[in-house]
Amino acid sequence: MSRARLDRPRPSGAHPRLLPSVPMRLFAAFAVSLLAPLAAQPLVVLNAGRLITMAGPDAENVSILIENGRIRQIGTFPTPWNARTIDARGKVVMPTYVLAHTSGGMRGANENLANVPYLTVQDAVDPSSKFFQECLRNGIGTVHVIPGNRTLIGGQGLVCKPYGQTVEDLIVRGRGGLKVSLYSEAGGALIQVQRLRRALDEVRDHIADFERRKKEFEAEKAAGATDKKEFDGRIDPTKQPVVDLLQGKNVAFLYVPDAPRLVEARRLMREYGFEAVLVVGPGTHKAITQLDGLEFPVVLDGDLEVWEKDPVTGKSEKVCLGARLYERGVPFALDVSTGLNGAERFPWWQMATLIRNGVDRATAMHAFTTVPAKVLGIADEVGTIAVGKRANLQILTGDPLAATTWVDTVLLDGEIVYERDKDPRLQYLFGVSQETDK
Amino acid sequence: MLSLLCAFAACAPQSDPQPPALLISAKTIVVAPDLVLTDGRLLLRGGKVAAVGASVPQEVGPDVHRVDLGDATVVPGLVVAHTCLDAERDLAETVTAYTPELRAVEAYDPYGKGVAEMLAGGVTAFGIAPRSANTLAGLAGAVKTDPRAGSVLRNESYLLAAIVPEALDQQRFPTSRMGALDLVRTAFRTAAGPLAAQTPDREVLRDVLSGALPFVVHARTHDEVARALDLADPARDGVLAGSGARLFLLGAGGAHRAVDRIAALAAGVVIEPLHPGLAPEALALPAALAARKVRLAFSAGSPRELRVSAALAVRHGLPRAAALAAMTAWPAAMLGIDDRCGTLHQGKDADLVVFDGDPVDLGARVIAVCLQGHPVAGDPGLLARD
Amino acid sequence: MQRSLLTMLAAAVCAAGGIAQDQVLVLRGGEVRTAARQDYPDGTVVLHRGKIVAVGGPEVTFPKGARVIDCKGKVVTPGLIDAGATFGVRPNDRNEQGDEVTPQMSILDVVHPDDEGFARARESGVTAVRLIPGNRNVIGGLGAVLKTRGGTVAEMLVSDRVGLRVAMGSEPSAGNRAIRGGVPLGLFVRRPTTRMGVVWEVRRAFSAAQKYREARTEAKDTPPDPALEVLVQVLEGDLVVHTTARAEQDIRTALRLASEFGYRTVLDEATEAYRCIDALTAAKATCLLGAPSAEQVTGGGAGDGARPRWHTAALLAQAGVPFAIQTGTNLGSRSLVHEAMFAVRFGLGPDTALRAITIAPATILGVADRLGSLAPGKDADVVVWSGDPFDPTTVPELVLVGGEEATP
Repeated sequence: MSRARLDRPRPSGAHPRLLPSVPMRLFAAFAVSLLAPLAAQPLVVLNAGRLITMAGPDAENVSILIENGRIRQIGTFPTPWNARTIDARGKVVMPTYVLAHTSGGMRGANENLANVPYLTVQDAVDPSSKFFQECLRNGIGTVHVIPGNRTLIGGQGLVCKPYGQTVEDLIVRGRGGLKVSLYSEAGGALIQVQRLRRALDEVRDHIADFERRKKEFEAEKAAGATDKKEFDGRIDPTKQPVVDLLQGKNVAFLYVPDAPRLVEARRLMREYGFEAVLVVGPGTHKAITQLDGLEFPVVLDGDLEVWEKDPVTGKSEKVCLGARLYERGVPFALDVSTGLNGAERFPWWQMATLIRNGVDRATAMHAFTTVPAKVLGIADEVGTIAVGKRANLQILTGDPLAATTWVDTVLLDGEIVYERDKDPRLQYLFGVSQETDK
Repeated sequence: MLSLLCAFAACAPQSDPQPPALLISAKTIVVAPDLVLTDGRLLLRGGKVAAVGASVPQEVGPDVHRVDLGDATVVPGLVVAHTCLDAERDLAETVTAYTPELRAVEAYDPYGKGVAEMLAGGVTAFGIAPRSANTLAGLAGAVKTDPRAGSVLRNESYLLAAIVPEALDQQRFPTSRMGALDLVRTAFRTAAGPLAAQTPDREVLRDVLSGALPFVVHARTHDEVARALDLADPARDGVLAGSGARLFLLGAGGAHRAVDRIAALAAGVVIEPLHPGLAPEALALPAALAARKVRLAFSAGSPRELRVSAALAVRHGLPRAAALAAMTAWPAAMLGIDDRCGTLHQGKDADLVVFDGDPVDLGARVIAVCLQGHPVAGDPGLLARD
Repeated sequence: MQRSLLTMLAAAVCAAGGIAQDQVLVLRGGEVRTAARQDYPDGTVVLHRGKIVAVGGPEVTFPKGARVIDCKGKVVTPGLIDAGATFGVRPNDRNEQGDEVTPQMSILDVVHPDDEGFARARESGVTAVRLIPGNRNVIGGLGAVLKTRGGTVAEMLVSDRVGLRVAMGSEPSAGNRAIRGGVPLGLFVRRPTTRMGVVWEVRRAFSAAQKYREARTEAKDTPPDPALEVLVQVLEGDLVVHTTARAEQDIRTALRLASEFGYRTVLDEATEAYRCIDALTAAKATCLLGAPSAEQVTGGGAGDGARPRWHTAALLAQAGVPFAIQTGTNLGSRSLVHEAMFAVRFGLGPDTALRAITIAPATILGVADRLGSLAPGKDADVVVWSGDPFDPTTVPELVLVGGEEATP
């Protein structure tokens, strides 16, 4: 199994996470059933009935050659003698979905402190979480886990697979975005914007101070007034992620709940000169022009359809932000809910909701594949089925947007990580046993 | 103007028990909704209207003081059909929702500040009602705004019921409108039944069924009004249908779609205080009702609320004459005091108000108020202006 | 927003003064699923004066001057019937909590026709709903069937006294508490506080009704009791009981009570019906299955401890237990057509699923003479869908209630 290289060393003092004591038999059954046949399979051939690549027209009756977790060939070719074959004839194969921004998969979506840029999701992600199991069940193969919205600067996210025994197994890219949020309790909107400004000012001052001391050192050294060979000042490590942000080495994922905050967010981005992926709540439709011409696509957060009451006439009108962005040609990525109930957990339902509101099918499907891959900067690895990319594939029983279609199998990096007929949760939901929960 | 008031004050000290005889002439005298005199005359004697218009003799005795009010408008004393006077816990008995026998006059304080305010604003009589905190809230009475005791005209003018949310209480039955309507229906069925014991509450309900006592239901939104009208609708098996009961609605702001039904089933509507924040349909409701010949009256906690309601209703289409009638003759009839109040016909009490313009206009000020022949100065600010 | 040609045409019809009551309306060329004996792949539906006049294939004729709407590529179904709508009544009005047993209360007294829930239901293809008192009382009162279009209850009413609400489980006792020494203060210091108490209240009420019925036949001057009159109607088979029961024990209890007093009952929600198929078949019971899409019970009934399974509807169909699908009280429930769609996803046949939201609820609610299928003589409640109603990307394009256009 190829391992993703960590982009940066983890903060000192952290231990590699051992498999935690797992409360649920489910995960054990899951892991055992799926890991057993996974002795390293260097060559895999997948024969697909219909192939949706998300990078061109669909193809019928083709095969995919996977080597060491990467796609080597797509087409019709003789099967190598030492390849394992997976038969998906009569089924549909497509890339696994990508979530650009979610707070699922952690134990606790937020810290109690507001301004904690030095925290990283690597320390909080839970490989055994039910959310990850739900992801695999629904064909989601890459997840950007990032702190939730109840924060100011919440910490660094993690791009990972929803599958693995240890945190290292999960990692796709070690550093995700820096979570920044303009969420506030009722009445606190102004304060939140002010707090962010102050936090950014503090870091800017810190950088300026660092630069000044460095110059002073250079001057002293040139004047021979010091013995030191090297400048020994350091940027405060707790501020480093924000320093990186202001210096263009990091991208913020900035949550904006409504239109006034969106306007403020754009202004902050211009003033402080940083890039952000805007994560927008439905209320931002009133300032939708602010979403034109952004560097990154937008991420839709929360309910896809909301009803707003006109205060004068008292009538309610349905607003679908995704449909309006589609009309304006603004690219966006979709999210799923992290709850335990409700259809919003299913990508096919989220895509269908947009289509019901007038978005075309291709845009809806790209919102779960190529667009989030681009947002996360991993478009060269995931999001489409193409030679050279990771073999992250889902095998479906039918059209991905039909209500009767199920995810039968999921492969991540060429290995089978989920099989529906061995899924204990589905066995429970389609059974009558007396056990209370799985 | 100052001289007029002095004329009034000079000839009628408050302490004089016997009201003076007055011959009033003014540019406009509204005797009744359908009788308006221009440059008319009015003779008051012994606290009553002795003669009006043409029947006023050319020569009156030397004991009669002549008062020429010039361009002023004289109207009968204003009557408010329903008020709780910005009340008082004492008007809301909430332990049980079934209290038809309770009388609001027993909690009425004639020396309260609200009463003096009413009088200064030109209101000479009003219906003091129990708060709408109960389903069958109790009996409203009719009183004169006379600070002296003994001003109650009628102990029982109408029975008030309420199905608005403020009459529901999550701590006692009924907690929902289903329960409220069930309570009303059961009460009337039981009272009308042959085996009903003779208790004061059942007597009140039987008076309603016989038509002797009007039944006022406080209902505001469209569905509340619809359910209230159902009570009198034979097509909906209403408990009041087929009896002599007279149903009035109080509130009805949301009922613009039910105007026809109101005209068919209700004897009149008391409009809750109007204010500019209400929906246009609610402000136009009085006009729609008047067009259907439905009699109107106003509920108001103060004379300001009364004048604002009338002005807004007129602004949205209510004819001026109807607005004035809704402040004088019609509420007097509803309260059952029209033998004494509401118009300036001969024999009625000498209750009148002098305005310096059309009383329906908000700009018109009260110059003077006369209660049973006793003049009371109007708005004191008027004195300072002169 | 993209609008289909059909919606634009319908809008033009509306703008031109609406579909005049006297004009014949013809829906032609679509796939017509009648929920009756036969479907028509190229079907024609003729409507006139608020009723369905004819249903058939392309050979069906209609008078000249009729307005024809081309439904090629669309699917035409009867208007959907949601037997478990929870809108239309303000929250405080849903239960009369002054007493636990209030059989004479009628939901019609508190219907709020301006509630936006009606408009939203219409827009999702639902043309009629059952409204009934809530589950906070043991015996809550009488329900009714209303159309989702109309400004007054009189206009919307299809049938009143459609069922008597009885609730099993923990909801009726939630909020009551026992006297613990001292003075019982407050309305909610009363029985029942447990499931035992809930069942006892039902028994007590029906026993009183039995005694009252005897007394009334013996002595004609027995004072009439409106509450007991309703229960006597139930005992005599003239009124069906709609019992809310989610957990298995509550379903079994509901069936036991019905058999004890000899009344007919329908089971509302029936979350754990998958575990009592035997009892349901033996009692020949009917279920109004709530929110088949749910994985958990959320909302008022969460305290019952009932756990949904996904294949419940399919199991009921397989066992021949008559049932309808409703949205119900689960907070996660979708619109009615999507609930049925999830039931299909979880194994229910699409034809059965369509019947479960049309003719089956109509039959259970006693309004099948007027609603529930496309058949001559029934009300012109019709929906034209942009595609297969059980495809998640399909939207309703035209909703007719009583022959009148009801989509914005």
